[in-house]
Amino acid sequence: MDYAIIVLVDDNPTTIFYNKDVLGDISPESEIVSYEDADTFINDYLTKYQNAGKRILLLLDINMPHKTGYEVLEELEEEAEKFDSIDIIMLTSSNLKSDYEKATRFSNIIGYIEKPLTIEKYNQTINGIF
Amino acid sequence: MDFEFGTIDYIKDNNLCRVEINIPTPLFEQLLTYIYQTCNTLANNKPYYLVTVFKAEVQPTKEAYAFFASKNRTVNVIKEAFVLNSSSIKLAANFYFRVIKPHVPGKAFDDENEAKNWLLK
Repeated sequence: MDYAIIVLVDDNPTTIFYNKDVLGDISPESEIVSYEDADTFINDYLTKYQNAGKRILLLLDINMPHKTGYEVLEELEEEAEKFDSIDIIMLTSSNLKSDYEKATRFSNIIGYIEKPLTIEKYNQTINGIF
Repeated sequence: MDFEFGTIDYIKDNNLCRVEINIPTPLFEQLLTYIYQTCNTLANNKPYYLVTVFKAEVQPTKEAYAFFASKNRTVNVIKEAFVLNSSSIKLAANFYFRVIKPHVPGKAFDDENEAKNWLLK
């Protein structure tokens, strides 16, 4: 599955640096964009991405200091006209069952990966093996 | 009728094949082929509605996704609904509907009656 844009949202700059490297190897044709701040991402999604007409994959951290990944999705669901057009993978260090179950509330979450992101985990998810 | 991991029934009045998986299993190609061939046979190889009820944890394999993506699988299926009870299969269904994209209209439900109403409306 090829995405024109892959968006990383994670409050940890080291994780972003590492994940960009992994994703660059996996999907060299994709534009990889990252955000440490969830609010900036929400604003950019509403103003840029939702109407970009491109296939977008969001890799979203769950546990962030000001807003959790699920709060980001709830906000986008409420405010975006085209929230459903983005595919989402939750990327997290949490192994809580409740976090995993919350993912099923959103029909555009196509996968759930426990950190660290690896080429193998990404390919397994994107090829449809959970 | 019973099979190793559940039941398959054809309800003639509604032209509906109902598959129930009630024993945990990986979803492997041989099993899926058996299920769909049985439905086709029960419906006399004529078009029918299909509801698959997952009451036990199942694990889709890569070959299962390839099978779900094939047109041949749904050659006699008019519409299909999935009734899902576990987080892993719900995410798998999201992936199926959004990334694989089914060849016939399909939808996932929590409730079997809602699924049947949607299929038969």
